[in-house]
Amino acid sequence: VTSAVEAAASAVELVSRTVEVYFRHVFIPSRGDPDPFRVLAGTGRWATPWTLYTAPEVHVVWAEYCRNAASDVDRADPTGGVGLSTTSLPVLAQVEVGDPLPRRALYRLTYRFGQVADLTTRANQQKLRDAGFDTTNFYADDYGLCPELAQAGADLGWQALIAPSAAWQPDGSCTAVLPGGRVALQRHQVVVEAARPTIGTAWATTYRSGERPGWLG
Amino acid sequence: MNQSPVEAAERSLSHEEQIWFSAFSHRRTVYSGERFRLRVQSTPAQAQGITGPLPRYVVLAGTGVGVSRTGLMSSSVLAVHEFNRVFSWGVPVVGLDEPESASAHTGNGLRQIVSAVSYVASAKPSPPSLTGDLVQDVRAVTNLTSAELAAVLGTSESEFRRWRSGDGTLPAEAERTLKALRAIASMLVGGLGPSGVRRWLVAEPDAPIDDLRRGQVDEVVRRAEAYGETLAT
Repeated sequence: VTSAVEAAASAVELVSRTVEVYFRHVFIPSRGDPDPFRVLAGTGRWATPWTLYTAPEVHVVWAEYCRNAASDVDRADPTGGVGLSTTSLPVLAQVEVGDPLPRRALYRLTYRFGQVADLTTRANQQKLRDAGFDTTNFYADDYGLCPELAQAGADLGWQALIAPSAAWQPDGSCTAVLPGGRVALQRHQVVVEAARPTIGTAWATTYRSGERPGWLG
Repeated sequence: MNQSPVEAAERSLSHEEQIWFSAFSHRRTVYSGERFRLRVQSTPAQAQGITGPLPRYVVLAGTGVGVSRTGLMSSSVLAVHEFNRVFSWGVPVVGLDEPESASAHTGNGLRQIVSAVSYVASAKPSPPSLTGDLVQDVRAVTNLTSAELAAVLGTSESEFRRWRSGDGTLPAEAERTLKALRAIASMLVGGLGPSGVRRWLVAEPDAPIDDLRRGQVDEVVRRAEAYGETLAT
């Protein structure tokens, strides 16, 4: 972590949150229950040795899944090569994106954070910019300096950070629970054992450059 | 006189908030005007699959039950109020009745509607029973045909059948490939089921089955393992 990013992280104003609910889509194993806390160290936009990606809104969760599994959304093409149109989209919007996009379990996680960095606020985004952190990093396909900021924040004691969602722009947000936030978990429960995003969600998702499935138009 | 939950919800609202609220099994979502009509596509099967909280602003059609972010409601009142709040934000007209006026087809209005029903719940696929017979197991977890399996192994279907009809001994390379295929499919079958695994393997572009044909097993394993994580992107 560079000193500039450390300075940016230090400038962020932290808040505490009472009980907050977040959602997370989870891999379904062939046997046994899904593990909503399974993480791969050092992966994703807000990578730290342990980062749990969630979102406060369910549709953002599914948009993040679509963005991350863009090739499967592409291969699922439920229009048989015809593609969506303004006429067919309203009709098909609530139909699921089918195979080969794997179903996921949907979990609800309840946390009580004492130290949250809400990077969606104008004040904190201005503090980051003033400290030299370019907030367009939030949407960069290669994540930019976001992993460094997350690590710097984790080192400063952030339990979680709230950031704009690259998948649901401009008003979606994600909550990344950082290592210090593990102890803030209050409860977790399954919402749906198996589900897939709708065609409408796939359509409304913002994909990485060049990855938007062609059939979505 | 018995009231439906929807009727009860309507009666609980003030005149200014009065709405026409219907939840039938129409395959359309319709929003219109200050006094709006709402129809949300859903099925009883979906409704029965609901055991916990759902996204805000969802109505399960055919059940007359409103659902809010806080959970399944015994009454529709809160859900209706939630809907009312959404519409007070000015969601444009979308739907069957006035399709040409639906500027929201490509705008924020449709995004708002999409966010209301962002996923479809379904039954969790049942894991297939494996017998230990390698070829049978691969078929059980992938639904691949003999011709497709033969192609993966780089042989003809007739040659593949000869292997099977003989003493059951497969060439070493074919056995290794089939074991890898069984292992990869076993990672995916929980979320896809066998037919979905087959589609995952063969769907273009970048069909993983092509990588297997080329012996690039590691690449296919990498793609399968990637589903284990839940990333923010």
